Order: sequence, then C-alpha cells, then structure tokens
Amino acid sequence: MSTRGLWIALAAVAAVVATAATIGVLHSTRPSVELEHVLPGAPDPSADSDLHITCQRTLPEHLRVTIEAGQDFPEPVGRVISTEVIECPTNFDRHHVEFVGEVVGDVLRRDGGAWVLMNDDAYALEHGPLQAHGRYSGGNTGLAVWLDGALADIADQPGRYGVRGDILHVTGVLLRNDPADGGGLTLRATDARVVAEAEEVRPPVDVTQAVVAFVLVVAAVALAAADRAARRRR
Amino acid sequence: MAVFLRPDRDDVRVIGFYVGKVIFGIGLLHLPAALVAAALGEWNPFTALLIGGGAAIAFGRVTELSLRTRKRLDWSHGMVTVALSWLIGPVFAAIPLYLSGNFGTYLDAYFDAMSGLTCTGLTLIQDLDHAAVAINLWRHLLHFAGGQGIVIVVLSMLAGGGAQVGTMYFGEGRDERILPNIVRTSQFIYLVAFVYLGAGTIALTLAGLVAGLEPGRSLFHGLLLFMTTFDTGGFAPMSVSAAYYHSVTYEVTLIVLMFAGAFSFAVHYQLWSGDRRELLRNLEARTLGLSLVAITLLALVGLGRAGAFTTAEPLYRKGVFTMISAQTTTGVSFGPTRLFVTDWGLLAPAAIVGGMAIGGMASSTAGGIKAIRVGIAAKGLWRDIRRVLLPESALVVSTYHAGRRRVLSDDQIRAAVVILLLYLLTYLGGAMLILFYGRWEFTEAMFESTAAASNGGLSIGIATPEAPIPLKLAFIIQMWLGRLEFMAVFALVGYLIATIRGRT
Repeated sequence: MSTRGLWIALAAVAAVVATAATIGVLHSTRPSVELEHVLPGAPDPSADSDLHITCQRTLPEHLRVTIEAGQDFPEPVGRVISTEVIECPTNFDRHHVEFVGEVVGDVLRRDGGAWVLMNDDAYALEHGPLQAHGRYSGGNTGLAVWLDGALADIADQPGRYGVRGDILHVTGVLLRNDPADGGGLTLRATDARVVAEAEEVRPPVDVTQAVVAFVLVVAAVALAAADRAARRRR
Repeated sequence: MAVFLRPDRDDVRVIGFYVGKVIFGIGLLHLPAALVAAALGEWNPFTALLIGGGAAIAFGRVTELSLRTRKRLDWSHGMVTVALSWLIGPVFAAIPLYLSGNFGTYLDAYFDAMSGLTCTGLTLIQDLDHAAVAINLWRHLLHFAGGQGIVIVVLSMLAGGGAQVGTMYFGEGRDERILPNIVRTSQFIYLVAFVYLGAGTIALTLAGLVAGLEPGRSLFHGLLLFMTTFDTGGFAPMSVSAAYYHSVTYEVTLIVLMFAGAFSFAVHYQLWSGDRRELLRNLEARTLGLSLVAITLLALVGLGRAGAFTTAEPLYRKGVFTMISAQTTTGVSFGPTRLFVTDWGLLAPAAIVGGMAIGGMASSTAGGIKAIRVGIAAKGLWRDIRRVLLPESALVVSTYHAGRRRVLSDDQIRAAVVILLLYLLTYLGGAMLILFYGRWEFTEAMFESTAAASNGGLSIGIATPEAPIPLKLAFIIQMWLGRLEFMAVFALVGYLIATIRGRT
C-alpha cells in the first residue's frame, strides 16, 4: 500500500473510532430527571427478582368464586400483576381483582366508556419513563382495561414521551376471553381511583448532543458540496 | 476444485462506491423523522436523528469521493454490494435508536435496526410506550425502506445505471423483473407502495377515529401501522401491538394491508393491469391460499382443544387474524404473544410456526421460504410420482402459472428445494443454539428461531434485552440471511475467502 493510501486508511479508522466513541459518550451522559417513587408501600414488581410465577397462587377459600353473569361482585381476591395474569390466565379468569398501573398511550373513548392500556412495569410504578432516568428494566407489561361510563373520565392524561401518566388503582373482573373484545384478555373495571396524577418528566435538551449534530450536519453538507463540485469538474 | 480469483483494488473500489451510495440513501431517510421531531419539540430525538443521518451521509459521500471508479458492476460485485449494504446500513440506522436512550446497548439498537430493515419485527426496545414519536416513526420508516428494497431503490434513483443495478435486484431477493427495465421495475414497486401508503393511511386513520383515537394520534398510528402491515414488518406504535385498539374495523383494515404486502409486486402489476384471474391461476397465490387454509384449520382445532376460545368471534379475531399475520410474516399480534405459550396449547403455536416458515410470495415484502418455492417443490414431487406410476415411455411434463403458463424444469425444482432446505436448516440451527442455554423448550426454541429467520417476527419472549449476546448475534444473522435469501450472503463469504486464498 502506498503512503497516501496508508494515511487515508488510518484517517478512516480514526474517524470510525472517534464517531463510535462520541456516540458512546453521548449515550452514557444523557441528562436525566429524578422521579419520586410513585406508589409508596405498594409491591414493586421490578424489585422482586425472586418472583416465580407458578400459577398456583393460594386464594382464600371464601374468595374462590368466579363471577357469573348478573352476580354481585365479591370482595377482590387481591392485587394482581400483569406478568402473573399473562402467565396464568386460567387462574384468574372471572375473578374480581385489584390492579394498579399507569395509563399509557391514549384513552380510547367509545361505546359509553373507554379502553385504556395500564402498565405496571418499573417505568410505570417505580422509576418512571426511561428517558428520565436511564435505568433499564426490560420491556413494557400491562393489561387492557375497560372503564365503563363515568369511570372513563378518571383517566385524564396518559403516559407518553416526556410524561408519566395517571396511575390508577382499579378493581374489576379479569376475563381471559372477553366476548366484548373478540376474545381478548381484559380487566373490566367496577371501580377506579387516581393514585398519582400525571407528571412531566421530559429531560432537558442535551447540549453536547446538539453540538455534535451541528458539526456532523456541517460536515455532511460540505462533503455533499465537494462531491457536486467534483462531478461538475468531470 | 474451484479456483477463485482474488479481488483486486478496482473490485473493492466498485463495491465500496456502491455501498457508499446506499448508505447515503439511508442518511437521507433520517430527514422525515428528524423534521417530525423538530415539529413536535422532541429536541433530543431530533439531534439523535441528525447525528445518524449526518454520519451516514458523510460516510456515503467520502466513499463515493474516494472510491469513484469507471469499472462496471458485474454479478459478483452486485451480490457483495447487497450483502454488505444490508450489514453496514443498520450500523448507521442504529445510531438514533441508541441515542434515544431506549436501548441499553449498541448491539440492541443494531438488532432493532436490522429487524426494521429486514421487516422482521423482533424488538429489544425498552419502554416503547414512552418512546418519542420521532423515534417510533424512525423504526417504522426502516420497515418502509427495507420492504421495498433499500439497495435497488437507492441505486435506481441515484446510480443512474439500470443495467448495472440488475444484479443487485436479484441479490435483494427479487426473483423476476416486472417490467423489462430494472429501473422502471423499481419505480413501479415504489408507485404501488406510495399508492397503498395514501389509501392505507387514510383508511387506518378513519378506523382509528372510530376506535376513539384523537385525530393527530389516529394519523400517527395509521401511518405507522400502514408501514408495518404493507411491509409485513411487525413493529407497532405500542407494546401490545394491534391488541391496543380493541377494534374489529382496525383489525380488518390491517388484514387487507397484510395481504397486499404479501402479494408479489408482479401480482400487483397483473391486478393493476386488470387481470384479476391471475389471483386464481397463479401458483403462488394458490399455494399461499392452501397454506393459509391449512394452518388456520390446524390453529382452530388447537385453540378449541386448548379451551382458549370457544365461540366464533374470538376464534376469528384472535385465531384467524393471528394466522394471517403469521403466514404473511407480518408479525403484528392481536394479544400478548406470551399467551401463545401459556394459553394456546401446542397445536395452534405449531401452526403459527408453519405459517411463518412458509411465508408469503416471492418478490413481495414478506419473508419465509416463499410460496412459489413450496409450490414448485410440491409440483416437482407430484411430477416424479407420476413418472413412477406411468409407463416408462410416457413423457411427463409439468407446468405452472406465474403471469403466464410455464414449463417446470429440473433446474427450477433444484433451485427451489435448495433454498427451501437452507431455510429449514437455518430454522433448526437457530433452535439448537437456543436450546444450548437450557432455559427454553424445543417448541419455544423453534418458534423464536423461525420468527427470526423467516422475518416473521411473532415472538414468545426469547428475543429480549436480557437474552444472551450470542443469541442476539444469531438472531441478527438469521434475519440478514432470511431477508437476502442466502445467495448474496454466500457471495460475500466467497469473496472474503477469495481475498485470502484466491489466485491473482
């Protein structure tokens, strides 16, 4: 390889290394916003690394009744988490349960009520949205909840980018195979209350990242101009 | 023994030159998402997209400036260019994903970029439900670009050399020219895509309004879901995929777009030309239809036996729709996919695996073995059976319809069966690696491996951020192999071997 070719190759390697290092530094130095623990005293799903879902949760004898059509709702069997419901849907089918989660995305108002997605992962109930704190806890997990009538008005601000949404405590009937949802796994709420109001958690603008972006855009434009000039000369 | 010629500097220059053009195109693709970020005041995602786009454009221009050559592209150059472009492209596409903060490692971001471009749909994103609109749009734009074929579109628009890009057309898994000219063929592909983009987005936006979404959010969801269904991708705006909307109108619209995506562009051309009988006569359409009916019947029996659904509407909305998503290798789910393991028994998930494995039509946005290969292999088998049963002197000729009546040749059968076997080996190989870790059952391993290699994308929870690094790398390779249908990747490997051991 000629000397010129060697210098070009070294420059290319240096550019790649510098770019990768810059991106790594930008990722690790993102600004963050601390959020208080959302639900003091509640079980923290992400903290319980020993939680083994065995589909054999012991229910009190007098609560081992399933809901039949037209029946009054018995006392809830207790609080469930979405991961155990999804792992053991038959276990909780037609039981009256409690569920706590963050309303995320949208409140789909129609047919006299509203569908909401309520997440009970660490981003909902523990640390808040990922952009705010950078603590990685896997994917989202939650349940689809139907809020009938006046209950639909309780969910006001769902969680999105930069917002931790309303946290609701919902009591309702779990249906493994909800006929009103074409067989979906849903929780039909009989009662709901707001535990924590929505909060803005948008992190501040990353100035370092903005500077790097400006430099790269200038470089890209300059190279595009150089390429056009080279074509014209040819 | 085969003799490989060692590539010389001009060969490397011509490959680098065209790879640079593709990466430049990927850089330009960042701009729409960046504009949306700026419009919504998502400033950190905005600068992340500018960094990714700027790096790609800079790389593209530097390689073009320094590697410009008059050497013409030959068959091997084209294949290697395609394989390298699909390997290097995600490097730049991953930059905004990594800087978004939704990915713990750069490998996870690269995984999603590869999954996006290959229209697989497996994802390692964390906290998707709080992700920025622009980052979500970027993920789905990758489906839109990859589904139509990033290489052929960029090069036919930017290269100005139709004859030269022909080899890359076939390297990207397209089997046939629709129009006599490759450039016009790729223009037709994008015409179809944009017509469906307009109609599909409008339809989904209206469905979203009926479902209860606000107008702006309905347009956002409609646009993203169009890209994921027409390009049979699998990403979704929310973590629960199509189950989010609880709307039969939405689901039916998605199904129509999935079929549109799984049809080959050649069939679209026939339909647009007014020849609707093509759908009934075409071997691929028939094979796809038979496969879908077979796996759906299996799934319905399985769901009934498992007690998951016992009435008609749930069987359709969850069972049938999921089978369509699997067969078209879209990967959009209509409920938590973990339920496939915990609530659907064994037969229905097996049917899902079968559907993904076979896949859609060749020269479509779908993945899998492709219906045409399955159809040709089946016809070849039937021809051989007839040869055995008929007198020795009988002349047995088998034909099939694909645009026109064609005679089935031994070469076609051999080519179809070879690729079919390669896919099956890849499905099995990935499953063996998953089983090595001892954490999952064989059925789960086959499910996830097939989802990756077929670009099907329905996941039962093995491909997660917590998965071992070798598994993530294996899934990436499977997605890459599956999208390019092996030959371009083999050409790259052969080129590398020739570089080391070839003769000058």
